[in-house]
Amino acid sequence: MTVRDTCDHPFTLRHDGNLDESRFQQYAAELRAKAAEGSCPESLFKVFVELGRNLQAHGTGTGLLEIRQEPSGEWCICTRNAICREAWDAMERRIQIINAYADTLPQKIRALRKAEVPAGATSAGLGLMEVRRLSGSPIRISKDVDLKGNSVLVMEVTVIDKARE
Amino acid sequence: MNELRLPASQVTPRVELPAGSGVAWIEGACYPENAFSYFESIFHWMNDFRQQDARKLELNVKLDYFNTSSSKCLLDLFQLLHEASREGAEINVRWHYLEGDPDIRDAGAEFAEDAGIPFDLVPY
Repeated sequence: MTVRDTCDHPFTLRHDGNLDESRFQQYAAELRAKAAEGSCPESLFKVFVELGRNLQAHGTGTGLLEIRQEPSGEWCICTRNAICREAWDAMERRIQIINAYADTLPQKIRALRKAEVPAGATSAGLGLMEVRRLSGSPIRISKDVDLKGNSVLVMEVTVIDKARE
Repeated sequence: MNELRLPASQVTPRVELPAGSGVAWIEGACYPENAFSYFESIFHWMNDFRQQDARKLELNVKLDYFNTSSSKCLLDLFQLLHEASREGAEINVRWHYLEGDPDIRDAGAEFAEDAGIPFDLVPY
């Protein structure tokens, strides 16, 4: 079942369940409209698109997505999805590498896009690298356990509003 | 070959590709659920275009946002245009960007360099 809770002050969007296409488009439209009126950074909308598409393509289909504005004014996107041991190890290595790219990220993204490999093979890496570039802060991941004892990947990104810096 | 027309949606651009030579448009936002599936008909059109005898194409690209999966597909499209150009086709790419949006302008310059095909960067 999909559950959605929202609160405008401070803004919180919490989606629990399958992120189907109609929900994805609804949230994308809301965030883009908020960005257009200056209520949130445009990069928040773009990070949501990259993470949302990644979840749809590579996630388990269900999980938790939360977008919230911290009291400090910073924006945070958090996802929780079931993950197996092998996928966790691979993801941990991938995030460590992406976070370490830091200032060279734009060149790495460009090189990966240009790499002569099938388009589908690059999408997850490209998406996460773009999340790191757009957010302006490292991607944080951790492992948790859900109520049924399944391993859960928790991914959290703080989106820095460059216009406010 | 047939023309290709795809209507715009919230997550996909308006696409108008002519039946043979002519003026083409890709306009709007591009972050479809599966970019590789979405671009399939466009690549198919490109391959048909490359098999025409006399080929002349002005491609106008006016995107206000595209995600990374779509950027990979766009680069693949521009590389196919580069191939068509090497095969003798007359190709003109006009990359439209909103004045004050350096990200989209710079993306156009990067695509041009990476695909090896000159773009006209057109502010609006």
